[in-house]
Amino acid sequence: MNDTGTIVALISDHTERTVWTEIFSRMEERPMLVEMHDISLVVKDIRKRGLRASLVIVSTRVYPQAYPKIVSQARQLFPDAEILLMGLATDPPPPLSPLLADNVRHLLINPVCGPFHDPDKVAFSFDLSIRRLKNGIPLSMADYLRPKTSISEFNLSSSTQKEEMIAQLEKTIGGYSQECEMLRMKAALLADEMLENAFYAAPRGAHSEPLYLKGKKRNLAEGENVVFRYGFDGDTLALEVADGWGTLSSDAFFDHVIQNMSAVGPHEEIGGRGLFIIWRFLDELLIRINPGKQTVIGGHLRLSTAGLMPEIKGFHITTGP
Amino acid sequence: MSNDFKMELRRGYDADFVNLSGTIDYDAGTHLEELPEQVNRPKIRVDFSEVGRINSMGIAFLLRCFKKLRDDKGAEISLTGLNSMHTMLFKMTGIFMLANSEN
Repeated sequence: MNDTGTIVALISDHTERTVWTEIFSRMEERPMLVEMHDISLVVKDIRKRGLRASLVIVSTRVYPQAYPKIVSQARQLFPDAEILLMGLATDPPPPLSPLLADNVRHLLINPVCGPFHDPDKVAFSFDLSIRRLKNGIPLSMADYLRPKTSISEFNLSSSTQKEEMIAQLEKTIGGYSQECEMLRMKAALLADEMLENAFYAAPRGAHSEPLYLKGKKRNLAEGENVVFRYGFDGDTLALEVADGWGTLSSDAFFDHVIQNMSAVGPHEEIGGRGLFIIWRFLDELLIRINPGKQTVIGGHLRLSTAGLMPEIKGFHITTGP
Repeated sequence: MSNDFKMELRRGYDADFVNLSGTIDYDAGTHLEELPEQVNRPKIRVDFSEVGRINSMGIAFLLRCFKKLRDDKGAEISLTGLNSMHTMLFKMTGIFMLANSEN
């Protein structure tokens, strides 16, 4: 019996194995890659050896379209395992509704983007996520920065401080290249949306109704808090905003993203556009929800990939104290 | 580039020219809501070269404004001076289904 828990990665075929081997071979925690045509043999072997999986990784080429029941089957086989979906930015984006239904809350995307492809950076990000998920430790934005990178933290008291925060963040990035300019613009928009969300979307009444109108200046009430944090290590920018409400739910996040992704044509009244923009403009979105107490929305993005905009990005949504 | 939103309208022979500048967010709402009433040419060229950040509220106002211009006024809308961020945002949110880019 192996008590540390195996990491099983379900992939479609040999072609996919080649792509993921490049990444997994650079990692500390190396998943056991299983091609779908071998799955019954592997499951029998796992049962025979009494192996326990702590994390099941499923490729987007396998789930949700080719094998829609694979996640529920994996959960039956490994009830304690967390599920992580992984995909390639060059593949068609998977539909997100099945993820909502099957309670899949973690998605990693390998950018595989020509001259910007940096297998070491991708492997670092995958390794970090896999180790944390295996051990049940939530990810935080600072995990993605080089050690000793300083993190700026601001406790805000009024919505009027938003522009000042954005200006500080833009100054931190510096540089005159096109990539720097792009990163600054993305960072400014992300900070804007995250702060708007904390000031106006997070505060909710007893029936989930918004308590404050967007665009109206507001000072935080006593006991209420909004904290803005960011750090830049020369390539990776990480940022997050914490509110003291904890009113967002992972289902609401999925609803907003699905609505915005599937909207055919221009819809001016669509809800959750801010969250959708945050997800699309980050390389990876991190949401930690402590219901009724705090929501932290953040993530990271890199200078070297600032000009790229794949159709889907990774996310980790954790709910709990 | 100032962050404050400004909108200027110039009349041409067969087109109206709209120059936008600053940040397009909640504060741009009133201006953009009034624009469809102010234009009367069949073609409208909107210049974004002096525009900085456009947030989700700004996107909602632009969508509403361009929809009115297209559906109520039958106007053909073209956009100029878009930077790469504007282009990414407009692709994601359906603005290009209402207006063409001349970049």
